Amino acid sequence: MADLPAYAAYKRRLHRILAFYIFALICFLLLMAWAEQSGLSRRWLGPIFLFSTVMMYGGIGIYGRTADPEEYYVAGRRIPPVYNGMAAAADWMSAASFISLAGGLYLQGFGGTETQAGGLAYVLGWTGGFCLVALLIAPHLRKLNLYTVPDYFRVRFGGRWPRRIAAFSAVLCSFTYVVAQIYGIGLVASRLTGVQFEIGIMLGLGGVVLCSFLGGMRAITWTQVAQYIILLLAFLIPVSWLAYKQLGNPLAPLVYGTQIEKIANLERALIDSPAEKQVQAEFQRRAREYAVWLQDVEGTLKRERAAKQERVRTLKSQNADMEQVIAATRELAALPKDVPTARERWTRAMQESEERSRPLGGLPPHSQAFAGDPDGTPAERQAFQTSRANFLALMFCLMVGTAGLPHLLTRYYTTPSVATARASVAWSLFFIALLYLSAPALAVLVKYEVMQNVVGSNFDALPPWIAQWSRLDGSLISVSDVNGDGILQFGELRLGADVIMLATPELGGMPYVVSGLVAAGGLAAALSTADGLLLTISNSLVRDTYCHEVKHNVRPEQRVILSKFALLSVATVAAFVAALRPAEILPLVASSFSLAASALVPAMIMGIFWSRTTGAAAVAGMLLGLGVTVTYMLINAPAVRALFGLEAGQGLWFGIQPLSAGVFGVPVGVAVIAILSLFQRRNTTGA
Amino acid sequence: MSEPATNDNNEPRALALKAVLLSVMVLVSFGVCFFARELNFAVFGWPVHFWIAAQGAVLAFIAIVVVYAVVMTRLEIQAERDEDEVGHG
Repeated sequence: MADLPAYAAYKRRLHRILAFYIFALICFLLLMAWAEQSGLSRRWLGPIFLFSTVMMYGGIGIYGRTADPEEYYVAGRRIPPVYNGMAAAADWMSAASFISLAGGLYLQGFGGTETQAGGLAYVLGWTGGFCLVALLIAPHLRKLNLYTVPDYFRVRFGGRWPRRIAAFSAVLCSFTYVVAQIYGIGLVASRLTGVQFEIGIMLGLGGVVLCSFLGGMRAITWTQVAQYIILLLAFLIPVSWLAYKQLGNPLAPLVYGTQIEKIANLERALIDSPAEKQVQAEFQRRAREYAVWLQDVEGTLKRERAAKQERVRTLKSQNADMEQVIAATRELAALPKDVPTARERWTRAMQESEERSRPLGGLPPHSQAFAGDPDGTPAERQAFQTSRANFLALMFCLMVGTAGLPHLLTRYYTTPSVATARASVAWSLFFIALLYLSAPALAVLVKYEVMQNVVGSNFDALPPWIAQWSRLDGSLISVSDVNGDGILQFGELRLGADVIMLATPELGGMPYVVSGLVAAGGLAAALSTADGLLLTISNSLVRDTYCHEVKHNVRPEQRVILSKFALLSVATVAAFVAALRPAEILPLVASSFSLAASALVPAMIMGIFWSRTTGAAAVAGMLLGLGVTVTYMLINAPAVRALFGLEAGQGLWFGIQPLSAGVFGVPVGVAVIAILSLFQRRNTTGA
Repeated sequence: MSEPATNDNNEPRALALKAVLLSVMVLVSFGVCFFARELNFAVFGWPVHFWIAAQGAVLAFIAIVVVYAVVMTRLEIQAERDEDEVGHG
């Protein structure tokens, strides 16, 4: 397609800036590597990376500042598809994608366990959704010259309620998502620079708010392009390095197939190993012990406390070694404080021990599809069916949810035309795939490294990264000599999902610069997503709610100012919620896909493709779809079940996990919209 | 009720293209994963089910989106040309 000369010149200028930026980034990395070689302390490298990148994002925000509504909301609708693709990729890939995806694939293999589907369902769901976006949604929304997603519901269906419910759903799923991103910002910043969690949040949030407050969509777009480049380098450099070290070829996604076979052999050897069986037996014993304790929590707690106190007393009276006394005192202090805490902690410990008493520490064999066995006993067959159904359901929810998340869809409002919107989705998927194709490769490479080289080493000679990360946070790596033979078994090492990506540089023996880069990449992933989400929420609040419900004739310039202040307050509230460190937030993120899928997608797609869809039907469909999803999640939430005194884990339909509740909500929404639309039509034609 | 949003490229060829591409997508994702156990054999050192789920399907998704973008642009240009011809003729 021929461009106007001015637009072609604009694109050339962008290409030049991008090339210069990549060049400068690589120079910066080399400079840091050189500084490390010449003795710059590791304590400084992490903070330097974090501060300089956040400053740069803030700088882009200042440079891109604007008060013009067209620029603020949709970046002037002139972003070329390639750059919009990069921005959408950064917008899309959250902290979870960057930090936890490879780890999740390490832990879950192909498809996860019976009770927790996952693994490649995430890769497939998060990429497959773009087919729906490209074919069914983005070009059609772009054609209407809209500003927000709820705008579509206003334009298409008229009336108030479609817009209101759409705005409510957009805010609902974006807010849980943004809290998790800010939480991720705090984690990355605090883990890798050693600053406090809250200070980490403030630091990262400063960059986000400066950028989106000043420049809205325009500044965010260019920040996200810059962030994409950083997170791409931060992901590919360690993966390629590890692949080169293991296989002699840096193109990891092309060559890791041979390692899958080797892992399968190693797994068979581990399953038969007598030392592993000892570890499993020990965990079985512990699980039984916790089960006995849980029968009488109060009595056990009293007994344990008395025994520990007695031990401290005897040690003191015998004038024992000071270290022994301190250890005993610490054990006493580590006991749960009251009965509910004890019950909760021991239940968790019992479940963990049960899991680790299974072969391979409870992990499924890496390349085995689904749990159970389709030709085995009835129980195994049942396990296979449930596991497969959950895998497919999760994939469905992630795909449809992708097509409904407002912060992603608004990115395609910024392209110059419908054709460029389509091209832009293709570019987004390409840029996302660059990372997502490498994530399974990284999981396989790390698993091979662990099984081949780490397992079987002496406890005195463990690689330094294990000690370092387990000291930092026990949930990242826990390692203990369970069967007491002084040699590390696979069952004795438990890795958290986040640590796989964070520890890869050390695992592969890379310089510390790469670790700094990975930290900067994690931060970039969290910041870019938070940027897009904050803008979506504030626009939904101001454009779709305030300007329609409270005050009708707001001038466009005033709207921008209102949006900016709404953004600031949403950011503050989200930071406050994240600083409370809600334990429930991470599962909520995955469920926001189910929420977006069932609330927005059926009405949107049917509105686009079926001219008979009526506003009332859309409202009913959205409400019932969302209602079914939320109800299913609630009746299966442990806290809610405990509140009503129901037995845990008994409300599942077809064994589907509550995470994938959208698999019920979406069909309900579609059916309701179809039936009501037909019914209304018949009534109007009949009358 | 306003109906500007029901779009005009619901023309049969565009719809057929969407239907074909979406069925390919469903086939490589849901179809392959449903039969993942049966596809558990190695080709060029790769277990087929794992390769498709980890890479093949993603590449297929990219192909689908690219084909859609290219074909739709061509269809639109053709439609414009037809309109011009009708207008001039």
